[in-house]
Amino acid sequence: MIEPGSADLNRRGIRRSGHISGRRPDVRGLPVREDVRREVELHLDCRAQELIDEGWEPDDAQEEAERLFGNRKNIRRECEQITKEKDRMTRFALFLQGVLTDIRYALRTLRHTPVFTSAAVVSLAIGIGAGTAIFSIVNAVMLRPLPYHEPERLVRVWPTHRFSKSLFEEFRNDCREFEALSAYASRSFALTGTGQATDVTGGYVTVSHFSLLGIQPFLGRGFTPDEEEPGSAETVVLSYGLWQEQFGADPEILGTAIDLSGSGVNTRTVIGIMPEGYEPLDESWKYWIPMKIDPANFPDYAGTAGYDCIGRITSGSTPARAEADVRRVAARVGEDQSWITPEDVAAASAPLLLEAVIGSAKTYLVLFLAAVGLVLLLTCANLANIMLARAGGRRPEMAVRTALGAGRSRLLRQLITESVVLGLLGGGAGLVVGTWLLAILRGNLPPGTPRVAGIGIDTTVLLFTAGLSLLAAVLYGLAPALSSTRNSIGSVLREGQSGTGGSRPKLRWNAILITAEITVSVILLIGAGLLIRSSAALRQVDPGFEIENLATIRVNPPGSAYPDDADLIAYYRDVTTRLTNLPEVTSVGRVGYMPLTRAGMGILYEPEGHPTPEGQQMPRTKVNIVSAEFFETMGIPLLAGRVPDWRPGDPPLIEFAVNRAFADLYWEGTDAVGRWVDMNTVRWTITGIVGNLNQYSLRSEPVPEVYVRDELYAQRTMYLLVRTAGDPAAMLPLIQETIRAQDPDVPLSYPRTMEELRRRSVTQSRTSTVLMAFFGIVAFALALIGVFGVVSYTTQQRTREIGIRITLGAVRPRIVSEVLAGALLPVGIGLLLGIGLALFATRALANLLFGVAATDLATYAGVVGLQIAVALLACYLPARRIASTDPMLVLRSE
Amino acid sequence: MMKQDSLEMFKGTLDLVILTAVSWTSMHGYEISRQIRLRTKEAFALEEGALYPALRRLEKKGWLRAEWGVTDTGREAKFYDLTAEGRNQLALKMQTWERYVEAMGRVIAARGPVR
Repeated sequence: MIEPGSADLNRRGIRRSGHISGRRPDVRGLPVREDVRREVELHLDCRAQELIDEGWEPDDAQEEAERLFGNRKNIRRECEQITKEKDRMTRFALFLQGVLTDIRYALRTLRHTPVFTSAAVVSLAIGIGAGTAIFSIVNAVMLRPLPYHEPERLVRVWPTHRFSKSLFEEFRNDCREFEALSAYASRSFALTGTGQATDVTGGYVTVSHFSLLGIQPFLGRGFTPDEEEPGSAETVVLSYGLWQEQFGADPEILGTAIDLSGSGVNTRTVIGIMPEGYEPLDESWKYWIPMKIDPANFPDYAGTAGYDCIGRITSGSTPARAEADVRRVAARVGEDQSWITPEDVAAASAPLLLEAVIGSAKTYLVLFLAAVGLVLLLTCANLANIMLARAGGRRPEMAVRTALGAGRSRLLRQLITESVVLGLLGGGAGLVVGTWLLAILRGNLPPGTPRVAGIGIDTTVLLFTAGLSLLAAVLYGLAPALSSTRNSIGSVLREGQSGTGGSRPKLRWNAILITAEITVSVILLIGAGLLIRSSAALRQVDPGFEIENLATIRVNPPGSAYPDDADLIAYYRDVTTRLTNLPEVTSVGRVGYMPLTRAGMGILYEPEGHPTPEGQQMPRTKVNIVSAEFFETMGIPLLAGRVPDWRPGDPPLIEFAVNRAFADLYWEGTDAVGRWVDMNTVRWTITGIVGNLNQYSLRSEPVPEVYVRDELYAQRTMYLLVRTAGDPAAMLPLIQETIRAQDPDVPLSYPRTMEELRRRSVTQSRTSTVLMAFFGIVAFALALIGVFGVVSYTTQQRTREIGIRITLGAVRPRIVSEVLAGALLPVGIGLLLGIGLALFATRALANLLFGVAATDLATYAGVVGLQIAVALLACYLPARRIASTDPMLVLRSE
Repeated sequence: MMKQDSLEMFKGTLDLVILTAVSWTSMHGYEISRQIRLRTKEAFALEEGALYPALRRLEKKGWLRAEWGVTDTGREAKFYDLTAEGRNQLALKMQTWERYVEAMGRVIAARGPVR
């Protein structure tokens, strides 16, 4: 029985057959060699005959004909060559023509099934779009080589400690596997004299920096070795962007001094401009100043360890040898300096610079990529599933076309073209979705993600998207294509008559599909569940202070106007008073290192009653520099004692406060109050114990910390904290205005509310959570649709059988439970596989989790429960529908 | 026919000669070569075999179409015929050649005493 619509297919089959079985001129005629040989032979015979007619002897005539013909072998070879080329061209043209016909035919088929086509294109667009967006980021951050000379020879030198200048010199003088080493750190200086005073971040780098990376300024020059000497000229190289924005791209700027104030120097001479598009080692850098190395200045030379170091290994060497070299030098230095332990030496490393730059971004990027891959896999599984169902319906069409002479490979090509056309349509739509997704993702990348400037849709990404579309087409298209062309004509005709459809192998396919979909969905849901629970846990964290109604801003009074500590103290006093007098402001505090940021300073100390044993290093604690009002403004509770006081004089009053965690290290309860601690060769008295707070981020546990008054430890760059009665964001403009009224030439930066800072602190987990939740939900929905589709289709195939059984007295609940049982086996297998793989896969998540284990039982149980409930529903609906059909209707339709 | 005074063929001339030969009716290779000999009075220095690569080249270009058939004497032979494209090309080449010949004719007619 031919189904409705197959007449149309039939007609198409005939139309196609002309092309499929059509004569291919000469391609299948005589073999070329024979073709040429016969033609030449005929010529020679005729020519000889002509000569004989003219009166030649037969033998001579033959010889003469051949002589006149010329070099027979060469001519024949030439002829064969030309004809072969021609045949190749013909074949190629035929192939192209075939492909074009196939594409036209595919488009027509897809147009005839608009619901299927649009559903397929939309789901592909989501999968491929997400893949494109994530890959664009992965490509820019991880895959793109560093834009420096021979980047594969650049490594980060990491002896498990940050470098001091003296340690850097040890390495520079002793390393053998390196061509050059360069130490660097970020600096933020006040730029004045070019309009509004601003803080600008730049690199404080050794003079070898540019030559090591292999990039030179496009205007002026880089640093020379003598610029490292103490007392040499203070110079600066500007980035192209800073030169454009602040100096109007004026080439005359070279050789002139600019007001770039910081590190005790107020003006610096511009010696070079870096080329446009140059990627600084740190994305925030807008200028470079040469590092002075002065062994005579001991605190600066050996006391400050805040530098990182990169190296260029010699062209004959390898990163492994470079690493061994770093360990050797670390071990040698460790002989004299006990703070480099044998463990440090063993852990010292020289990772490729690219690896070092990517750093922890790798964890979540790989996670996203894996998640998006799984979602795409699910999309393909669903499409394969629908296409398998369609394949059943198209078998009559295929059979007729086979009967008309189309070979199986020809039909396969046709079906695969259809998949590829669908894939490319999906890929095109995916590119649109991807561009849009990327725009959203870009603004929400975790802070600290490196190399974000390079993120965009470039050729690599386009190629990737095209490849992905083709790969998807093969994934969902191959099995259905093989299935629908497998059967012989006879079996199809028989099937057509019986109407039972699905053969056994296809049922197995369906079970595999269900299992795969549930597996993938479970993995993604568990990942998403764990991250959501982490986010919730993070939100519960008590930061130790009151986040609401707190505005903050960073202030950097330049050294030119405020050279001494006394000037700074007076300036900050005045600004604090002005701000405190504002309406709506309840209190104003100052802090050197902002809570919830990575910033901080360490100090060596020795507490009363706990002398450091001989030969051991003194303990180190975090220290923050605060004003008296800091604790009140932040809402940090004073647990015992009082806020440290300050009085200038000789000797000055030296008091400080410690947090609970520090006090608990050495003393019971409130015993710490009144004790002393030696820090920096000065004896300090503890006057109060304050509550713990999260100095670094919400993820990290509070650490022991001490607080000293900023009048004692004057610091140039401070944060002002303003506690407001109303919305702190609305107060920020007035706060800036008030500070500028005091002195317009003091750069202000990072105006924001504490709530913004809290959000930034959780952005990494928030982005990961939102993305994973998105992928999880998409996967869940896809799996659901998939299971529903497969079960609907398989039950529909059994309509006739079930109809007969109902007629014969089978009860409906039994049929429903039978269908459910059949579908739930693959669902169960999928659940088990999913859980097993998730236990393995979520280990990669460990870094992103907070307050929840990667094996969290509640998450696993919740996901399994949800998955089972919804899978049951997806199976039950088609089962009930089939069980409630009227058996007479079914049988009559046969 | 490698006579002392035979002419070198200009490049591309052979194509024109072949196309002209088959412009009336389809012919097999030997007939074409005979036609050329008769028409040119064997003026050109040309190996007879050189015709065959030329034929195949023209076939590849799509100017000639080739088909195996049977001759008057009952032998199997490959017949060549002009395609529509070939006919167009022949007309074009003819025009060029006629202008060339005309121009050269005038040049030769206007010569001064040579000897």
